[in-house]
Amino acid sequence: MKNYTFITLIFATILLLSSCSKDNPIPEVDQEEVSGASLRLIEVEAEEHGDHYHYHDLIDGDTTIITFSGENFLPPVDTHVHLEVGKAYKFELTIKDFAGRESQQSFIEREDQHFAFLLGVPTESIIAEYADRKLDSTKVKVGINGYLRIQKASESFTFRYVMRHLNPGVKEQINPLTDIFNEEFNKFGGANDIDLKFPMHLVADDHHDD
Amino acid sequence: MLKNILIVFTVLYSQVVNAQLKSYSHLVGRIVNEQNEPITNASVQIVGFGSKKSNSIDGSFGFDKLPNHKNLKLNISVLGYEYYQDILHLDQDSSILITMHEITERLDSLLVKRNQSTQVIDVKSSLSKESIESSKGKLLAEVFAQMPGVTILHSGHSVAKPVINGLHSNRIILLNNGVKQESQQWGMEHAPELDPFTANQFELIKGAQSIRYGADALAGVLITRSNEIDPNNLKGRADLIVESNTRGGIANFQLEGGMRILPNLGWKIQSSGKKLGNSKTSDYYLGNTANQELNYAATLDYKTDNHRFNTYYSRFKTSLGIFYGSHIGSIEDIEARIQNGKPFEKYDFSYAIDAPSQRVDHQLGKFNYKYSLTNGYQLEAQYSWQQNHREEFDRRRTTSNETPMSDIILTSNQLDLMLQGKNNSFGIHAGNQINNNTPGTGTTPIIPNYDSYTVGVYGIHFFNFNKLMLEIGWRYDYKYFDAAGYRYDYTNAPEGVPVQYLLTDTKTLHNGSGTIGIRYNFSGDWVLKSNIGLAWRAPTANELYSDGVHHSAAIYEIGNIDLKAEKGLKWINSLTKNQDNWGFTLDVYGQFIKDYIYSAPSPDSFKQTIRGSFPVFNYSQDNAFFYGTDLHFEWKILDRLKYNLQASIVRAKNISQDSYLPYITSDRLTNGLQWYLDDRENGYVKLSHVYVAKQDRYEPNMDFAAPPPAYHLFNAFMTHPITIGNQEFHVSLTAENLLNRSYKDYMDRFRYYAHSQGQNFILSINYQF
Repeated sequence: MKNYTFITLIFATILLLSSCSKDNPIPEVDQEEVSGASLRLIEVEAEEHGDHYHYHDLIDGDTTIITFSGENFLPPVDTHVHLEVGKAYKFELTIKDFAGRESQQSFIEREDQHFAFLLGVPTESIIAEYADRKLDSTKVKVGINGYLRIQKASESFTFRYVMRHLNPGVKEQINPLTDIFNEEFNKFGGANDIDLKFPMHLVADDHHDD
Repeated sequence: MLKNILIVFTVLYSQVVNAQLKSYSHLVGRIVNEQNEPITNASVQIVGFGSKKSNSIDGSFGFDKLPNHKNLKLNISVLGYEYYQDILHLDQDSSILITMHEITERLDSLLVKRNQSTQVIDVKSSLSKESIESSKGKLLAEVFAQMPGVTILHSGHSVAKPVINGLHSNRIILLNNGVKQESQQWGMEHAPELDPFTANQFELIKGAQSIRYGADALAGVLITRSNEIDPNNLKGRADLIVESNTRGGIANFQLEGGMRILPNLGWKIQSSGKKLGNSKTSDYYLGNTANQELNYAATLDYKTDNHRFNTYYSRFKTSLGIFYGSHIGSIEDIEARIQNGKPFEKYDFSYAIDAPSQRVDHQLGKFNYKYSLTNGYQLEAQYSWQQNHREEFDRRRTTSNETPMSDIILTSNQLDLMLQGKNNSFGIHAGNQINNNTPGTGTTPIIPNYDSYTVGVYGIHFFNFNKLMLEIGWRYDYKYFDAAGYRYDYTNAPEGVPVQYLLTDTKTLHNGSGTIGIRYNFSGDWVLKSNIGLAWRAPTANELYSDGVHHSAAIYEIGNIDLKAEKGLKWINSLTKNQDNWGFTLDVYGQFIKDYIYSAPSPDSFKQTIRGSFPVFNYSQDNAFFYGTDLHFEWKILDRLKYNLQASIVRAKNISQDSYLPYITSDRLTNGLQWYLDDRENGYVKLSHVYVAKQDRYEPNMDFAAPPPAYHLFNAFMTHPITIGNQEFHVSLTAENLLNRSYKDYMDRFRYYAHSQGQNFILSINYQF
């Protein structure tokens, strides 16, 4: 046998060691990350029907669009949203992934894991309800789309929109009617997928701001 | 549950009582060599009735109360002599004389010489057979944590990393049956992928041991190895373990023997499996903490006059859930949970493993060849191959949770050539590592693809001056590192979409290491060991290239491409005294680490992402100093009553910044009383107490919460053989956290979200044949 085993082992290993190298990396399009978002607030007509409301588009309703982009995902410096007491607004959130594609519908399709909290709003000044639809038209409560009815004027405040990616079983613990403004949203376990902030002011209809 | 426990205790107790009523004989013996000289410290085993050492003066030994009219298998082993086996059949008190024959085979005698020369200097400790048996079914880190100086860094209950004298992860080398385990240990939540059932021996070497084992061993080396296979003896063991806390079970089976057609060929096969459900604190379940494992291993060992071939293959596959409550998104979440003290959510028991989770598959193969030269040297060559496939899953939005967020395959090849003599050894090490991210995760990898090549040469020289032994070692390593991976340039985001760029980097690192160790035998069984070792460690890929949110920690980590190698100089001294009734080992050490790499928050620096604001942690380096002491003390109070105590103290400071380092083990003390039933071979009962002090040495601005308060835990263990027909089973019952105390440990990274595990009863049945 001599040392043939020994020599063979050494040469085979050297061959193996030298023949291996890393693969060329392939760029991934980050599916879970969000590159930017915009929030559209459109004035609508709210029609009361007993215990609920029907909402109708207005031909000349005001529309406000807030875009969150750039390195810090902040709204433009001069952003200041005025919503008028007594009026209703439809809100629509548009989200883009790292390939620049709209991806807000993916939150709605995974409605069992997602819920948006509207934070910083003065008590009883806004009534909100969510109006999301899955691709198969099923109505769900996520908070990508919804309506705001302005009840009371307020000082300027920072409106915060947090889309929560919830742990299993947590969505069932959320009451979509009463928890929308729940400042203790952290107790609903999960991570934040989106966290947007901008200044807002609820004004009486005779208010004029330059 | 309590009823079942009482039944088990009752059965065990009845067995103890029955044992008193049997008819027994005493056996005494003496072991001599062919020149009729006594052989001391031989290991004498009567299968099923324990092991003893032959007397250190006249080579005698004795066993009390062996059953009459039964075939008793006697095994005797001692270094340098042929293995001895016999069947005894007692019907009265007996005495025997056993003559051992010296091994004439050069290979084994050389091995003996090598072991005698290189292992006596190290500051090391090993687990007793009792400790190994009582820890069957536990995680590897938990097995090693029975040794003084080893603690655990937990990420929940199912992920545990060993810590030696305050250092962990890539600063520790783990030797898996002679092969340096190469897995993705850079992650704080990445536990070593090794099945403790594959090993029969667990050793810890404290000190900078980079000479024999290569760079990285700044803290020390953890060694697992199997016993030698006896090809003339077919034997095996089966273990069945069930535990109350996770309502889970663990099974292990192994068989070894030889083949008639190839008398010198030994073989061994082993497989173990585990299925554990959600673990429970003292009063609530931790959602998604289930765990499953399936492991197997095989060994072939063939010896001829001057040659020895050994091949080994093992596969470790685990799937484990990560506690839902640790899936948080911001500092606000952590602070809310810290304030609440426990999770907001309540979960039921389940065996299901859901995202977030980990799936790891680690394969290891080795071929080892030893050749005895005529000049008293031995030539050894070992090639090993390892593949570590780690997949990490998270809760996804755009695709199935079954699509991993991270899918990394690390392949390692190592070739070691060693020329070993009694007093001088030389070696060459060559290795490479290929790290590839599997495309299709829809996530930019945290770690880029890379390959690295290492070459090292070393020498160890041993000098014996009667009572003083001296060992000097030297080593030189060269490492080439080549990385490539895509990263985002957040400052360049046309239309809000950041642009990707290819990051490439190469590094060449080389360094010398050295060690000087002495052992001095004083009179009266006092032994002093002192070892100074210089070791180094190359920065890991995550330390160099991280750039992103670390979700389980709610921080934004940024690597540092300019990091240099870390160099550690450790001086450890060990004083041992062993008397008939008591003994102790006291280790005192100090370690200076130049360019210690760590991740620390940048003051007032936050990264605003669309998911919120995260504190920025940058990897940087400073000089650090670690020092401390470990104590192990044993006292045989009565013939059947033994007391043992272990204590560890670690202090660590960033001496460049004059600040404390995070996640340093707090002071701890473990002590226990062990009562042997009737005879040592008939089992024992052990009550132990663990005290862990509060860590007062921390920097408030480097952690989200102050360290938790000190705590006490009480544990109990009972083992006893039970005979059913002609078969003997060893049954043991463990009670962990006996009083179901609610506590948090500073070294548990999930302490922000939840408490540690509550009461746990473990029933273990072992059958050896």
